[in-house]
Amino acid sequence: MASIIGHNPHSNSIGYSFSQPTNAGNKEHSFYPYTDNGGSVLGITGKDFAVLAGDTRSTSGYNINSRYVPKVFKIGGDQETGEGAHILLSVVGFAADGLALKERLDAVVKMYKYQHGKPMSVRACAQRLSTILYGKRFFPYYVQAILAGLDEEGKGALYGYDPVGSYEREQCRAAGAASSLIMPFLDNQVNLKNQYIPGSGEGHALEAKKPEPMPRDTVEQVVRDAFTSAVERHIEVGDGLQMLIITADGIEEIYHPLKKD
Amino acid sequence: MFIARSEYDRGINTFSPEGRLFQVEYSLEAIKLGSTAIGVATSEGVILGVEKRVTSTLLEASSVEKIVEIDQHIGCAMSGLQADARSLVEHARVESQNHAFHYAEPLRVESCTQAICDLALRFGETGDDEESVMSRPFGVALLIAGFDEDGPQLYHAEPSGTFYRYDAKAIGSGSEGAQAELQNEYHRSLTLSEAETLVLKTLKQVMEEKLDAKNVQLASVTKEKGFRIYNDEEMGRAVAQLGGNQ
Amino acid sequence: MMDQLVRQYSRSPHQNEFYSEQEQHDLTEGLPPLSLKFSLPPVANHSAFLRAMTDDHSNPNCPIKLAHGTTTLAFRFQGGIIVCTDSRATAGSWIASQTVKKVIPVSRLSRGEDKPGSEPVPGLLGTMAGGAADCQYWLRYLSQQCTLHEIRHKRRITVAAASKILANLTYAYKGYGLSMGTMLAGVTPQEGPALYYIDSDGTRLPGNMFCVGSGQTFAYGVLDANYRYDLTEEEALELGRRSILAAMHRDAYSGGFINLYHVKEEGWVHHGFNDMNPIFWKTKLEKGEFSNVTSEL
Repeated sequence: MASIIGHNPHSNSIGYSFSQPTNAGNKEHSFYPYTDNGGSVLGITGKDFAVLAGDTRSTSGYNINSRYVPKVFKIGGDQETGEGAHILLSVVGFAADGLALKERLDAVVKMYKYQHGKPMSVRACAQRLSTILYGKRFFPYYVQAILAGLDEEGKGALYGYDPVGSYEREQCRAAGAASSLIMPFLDNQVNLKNQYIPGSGEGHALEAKKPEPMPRDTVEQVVRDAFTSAVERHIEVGDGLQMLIITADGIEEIYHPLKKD
Repeated sequence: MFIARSEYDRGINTFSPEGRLFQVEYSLEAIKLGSTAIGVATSEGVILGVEKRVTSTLLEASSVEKIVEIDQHIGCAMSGLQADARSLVEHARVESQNHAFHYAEPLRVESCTQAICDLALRFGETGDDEESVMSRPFGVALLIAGFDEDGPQLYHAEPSGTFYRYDAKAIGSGSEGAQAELQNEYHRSLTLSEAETLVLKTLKQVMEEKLDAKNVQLASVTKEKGFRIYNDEEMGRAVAQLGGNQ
Repeated sequence: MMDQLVRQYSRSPHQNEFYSEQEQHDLTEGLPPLSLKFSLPPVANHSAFLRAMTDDHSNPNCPIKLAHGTTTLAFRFQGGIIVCTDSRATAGSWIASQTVKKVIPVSRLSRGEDKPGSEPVPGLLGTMAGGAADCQYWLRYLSQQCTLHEIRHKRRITVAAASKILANLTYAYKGYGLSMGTMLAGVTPQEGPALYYIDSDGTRLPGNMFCVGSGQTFAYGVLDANYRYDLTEEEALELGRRSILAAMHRDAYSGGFINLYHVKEEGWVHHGFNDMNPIFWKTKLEKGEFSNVTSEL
């Protein structure tokens, strides 16, 4: 009976081209090379800046292993100080994969400068990151990446990725353990989803509010609110908030303590 | 010409006692046998021109292809062994597309030239896993014209793997006379149509046959239209204009 | 016992410490070669590994959730081809994005971004259903191959040839775990309007009309009922829009924005990326459709 009523919602969607049937049930696999290190990251763009932020807690299961492991990195700058960098990358998921990805992208951005005699644009870097991720399509990096910088016109640019490299330019994006808590908040505060101008019409004729790029201090406040709220409701988020802001003048780093429980 | 060649001109990987690589030098000689090709860069764009050497009335002139497209914004003219050029051009095309694939932007003209020169050096004995491309140096020189964020550019790439950027350059059998002419006539404020005329005029001086719309070929690279090979109509107009100017 | 000891100590277990030669090469060369090399997990059965990690159909708790695409349609009519999609990407039941561009131009890569409302852009259109990354990557690869074809042969590739490149590719990777269902649409002098369906099993079908993705049946329902070859351009655009709307309404995995394209002889034209919500209410209140939905409680 259940089989008649509870039909498979995927019955006519695109399946995977695995050689064996995919409904073989959940088997235990001895090879499990990933650990979820928790945490969350968040990026928002403005007219002439982009903010990329992440908490600094590192977890493994229910253990908190460290209270300061950064998830947001400067790309293409000095190894130690990050000076000269013009792109930001945040990675969340398995920290070792994230770090490997960051090192790889950093090397690629530096090589590009030597080979082509110009700094890599964010657009070019965004495409390159996608192909790097897809290069491990069959042994994926366990990461959700966000890339940020300033585009050719000097506007803030933000690109969100899935683990194997599909990407999209967006106004804002949250990723990681608390993304399901933060993203709806951003839809509401940044993209002004489902908000209408009062008195602009009746019922369905109400005019929707148009999202405008936010000023920098508002964005910083929204980021802090997003994280302090996520800390209240998610065990894997906490300890510290690392915020990197990229503008035409360079990259500024702000650290803001979060609750440590 | 090469007095002390002895056996040092046989190995492509052996320096002569005077420090010369004869096979590479000979490959440069091969270019001097080739048809003349000229490039002139202006602030508006680059003009490439070649003589086609239509050796027989039975030869279909349109099948002589000495200017080819590398990408939307880069083209090249060749002189020397045309068959060798094909593999260099194919390499450049793939390299250009590969760059666009990974970086969502067109390849820079200098980087494209560098890629061609990297391949030009891949001759001789190769390492274990390295793919051997050629057993001898390429016998062709290229004039690479393109447009990128630095504006219109013209490069000359040789079989030795070296390349230089030029305002105006001639290669091939008539290159000495043509280069002298370019030296005299070139100035930085040339317009594209003046460059067109300069290329044709110079070709006319060094060609053995009488220049007409069939035995020369022009192409241009501009910001707006990218690389374009002139069609019969445009060739006719350019050649007619040359006659009118003189 | 002794053998075991010898084996254990005769070779350093860290032979390839840090980066392997291949990896070093990859790092310094900047770009991977065109021969398609992908790293594989160090296990005998890599597809089983990948399935355990990423296939949320058979294992909803898989650790790596990949973004999926959902309802797409394309059909031929007298004025060319209409291509229409939704814009929702889901990872499990989580809506990963509502603004995915599921119509991907297959044309010169260096041309730059798609600017709406401008002149027809020459080239083909591909659609995205299944794995978002698979579709984005391989349609990009196809763009590159088509551009090379165009430069080498001095004429645009036919849709038949382009679809064959893609189908050969998916067939070569059969069993590796790709997930894509894509349609290629284009108008060429040799073929006229041509439409092909290609998927990750290696299927390649020419046809007049396809709907692909979890909402395909809902879209077919509307499309089949109203389709005629001699539709006018206006009618055809509206039918595409209305069919996707039906799928968005009934399929939970579809939604967001309606992305509409028209492929003509001169190239493709973009007819907007519009929020489904106002369109839905307009369709209901002004045309009286969806009367099953109450507008007031």
